[in-house]
Amino acid sequence: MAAAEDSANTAQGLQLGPRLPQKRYFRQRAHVNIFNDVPLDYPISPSEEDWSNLYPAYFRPLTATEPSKRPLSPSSSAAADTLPKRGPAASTASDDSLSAQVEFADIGCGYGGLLVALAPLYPNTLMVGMEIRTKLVDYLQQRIEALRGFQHDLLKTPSPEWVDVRSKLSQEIAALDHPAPSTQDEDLHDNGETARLVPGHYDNIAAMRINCQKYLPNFFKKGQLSKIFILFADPHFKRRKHKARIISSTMLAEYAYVLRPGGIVYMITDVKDLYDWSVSHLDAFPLFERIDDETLKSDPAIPCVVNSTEEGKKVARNKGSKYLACYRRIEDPADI
Amino acid sequence: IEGSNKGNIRAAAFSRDGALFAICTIDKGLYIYETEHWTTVRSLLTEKRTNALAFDPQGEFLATADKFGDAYKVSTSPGAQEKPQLLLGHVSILCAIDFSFHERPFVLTCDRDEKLRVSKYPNAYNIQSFGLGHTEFVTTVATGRFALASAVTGSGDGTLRLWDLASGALVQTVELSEHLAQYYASGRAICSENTYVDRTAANERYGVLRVRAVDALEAFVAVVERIPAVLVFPVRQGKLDKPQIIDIAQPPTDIAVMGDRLIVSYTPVAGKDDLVVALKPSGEQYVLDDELTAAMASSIATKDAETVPALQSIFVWGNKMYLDRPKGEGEGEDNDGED
Repeated sequence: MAAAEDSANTAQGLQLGPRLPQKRYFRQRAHVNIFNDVPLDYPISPSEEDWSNLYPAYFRPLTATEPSKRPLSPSSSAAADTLPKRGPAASTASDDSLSAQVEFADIGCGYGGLLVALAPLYPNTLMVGMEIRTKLVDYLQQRIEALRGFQHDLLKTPSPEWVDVRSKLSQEIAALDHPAPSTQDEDLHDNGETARLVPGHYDNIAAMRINCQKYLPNFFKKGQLSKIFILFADPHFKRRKHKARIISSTMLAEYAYVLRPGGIVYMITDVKDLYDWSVSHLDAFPLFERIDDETLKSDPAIPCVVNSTEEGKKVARNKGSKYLACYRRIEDPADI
Repeated sequence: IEGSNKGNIRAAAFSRDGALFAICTIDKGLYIYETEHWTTVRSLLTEKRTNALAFDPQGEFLATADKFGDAYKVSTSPGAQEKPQLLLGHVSILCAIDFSFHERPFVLTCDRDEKLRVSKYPNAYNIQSFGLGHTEFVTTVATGRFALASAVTGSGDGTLRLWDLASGALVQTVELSEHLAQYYASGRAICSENTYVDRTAANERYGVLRVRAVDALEAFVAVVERIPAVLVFPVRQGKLDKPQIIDIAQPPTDIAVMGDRLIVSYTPVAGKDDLVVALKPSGEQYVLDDELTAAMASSIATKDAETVPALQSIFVWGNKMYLDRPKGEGEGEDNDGED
């Protein structure tokens, strides 16, 4: 613990400053029963959701004191200042295409490795991590807050260095061949940047506690998302638990609803049985079409999907196999 | 009807042309009859207990909605052997299922998590929209030929809501307390002993039991748990207009529509023989149809019961019970969910 604090303090030269949380204090068992009624906050409908809590840089009207923040939504009118902080659907601007909205969703985001790796690659895209386990959501929210804190502090320094995102990613992937020998290092390692600026400053990622299988349509409008990530999901081995699996014929209809045509589902797992199950369901579902490996090679998100999650790194350390399948959301063949 | 039915009947439905009739029982039985001679077309056991039934517009399939959140379609061809096919699923208890009257109809499903889902049919994997706005479980949905673009839902939140099916937009909300508070004030709202005790202390609840469309009158009718009344909402300019409220003798359990007649079944009460009542339109108002009521009463075979079983309030299963759970049980235990 002391080592992490020191490195954080050295980067700032301050006694107090942003601190990355320690994973060991936030562990929670992997399995959760999604059918249980657990008290969760969810809006009645997507337009009721106040996204400003998660993305303060994007959902706050411009004010004179914060010129560095550039909301994507055109909030130039005085009326915008009097509006409560709300998501795009509640804004006076009727042109939704100019309003910021979440486009990537990481279902079961865990400790947040994917989001932190993707954030600089798509600095103008809002991404949300969804997780049902309280401790992990708390961890990730603190982690993102700390990372943003580091960025904002760096912005105040005279000539901060920018990270080269591509080379950083390649280095991380190369480092997987030499995995950390002890779990203490695993706790300390965070693939987020604390010493250099990244595009987007981590303002575009956030975590929330949600049961995706019940409340996805409460948060996202039809066709709102362009990417859905389902990485290393709970396999739910018992047959009677199969309905709880995150990829099921019933859930696929909901993923197809929130994903726009052309949007992509990324699925990776180290459990072959789950891979086979997921692929057979996705293949059978009329609104999804498999993307071939050749096309995937040019997708910048793929290296993060495969390598950047804590779970993915664990699999690599244990020399396990990873099975990847990606599908594009297509128009309904029955309607054409 | 002669039958080997065991167990209580949970739901019943006629096909649109009246040629077929189906019931589902509490012990997972599903029975389809043709109505000319009342012979059995199909009988089978479903995997999970079915909560609601609706025939598809052509009468080719019976759609069932179960307590596990899945809707199936069952072929109605006589002697068909194939198992029910999965139509769609919610991760929640399904309370109601129905079809719209469009050329290419929508299938509408309502669940315990406040949602109305509008899906295309037969390609029900393609969700058209969600009707989001209810704040409690949605118990019932109705569609009418005269209101093609819309559907009306009823909920444990004490409202009826009118939706635009294509977009899922909430067009209108009717607060039932505005019309029915008088029944609590005057003591006419009848609460049985088993009524779920509301821990939020809002004891004046309006749990909608059923909404039906009356094509003959271009209106929607509704009945509410505990309230001995029938509400008739005429549809004017695409919205529900001021309702006519008809007093009935006892709180209802259900309502059905036969042409322009309304048939209401009563909550069974010890010492009273009345089980159903019929209402007919007379001018602008609805009045008791004594003739039809008497005719029905005489054709219902009843058994004398020692005690009248108390009906469970819809709020017992509809409400989210997590406030009751001891801490720490929420995440972890393997539990299918109780009836």
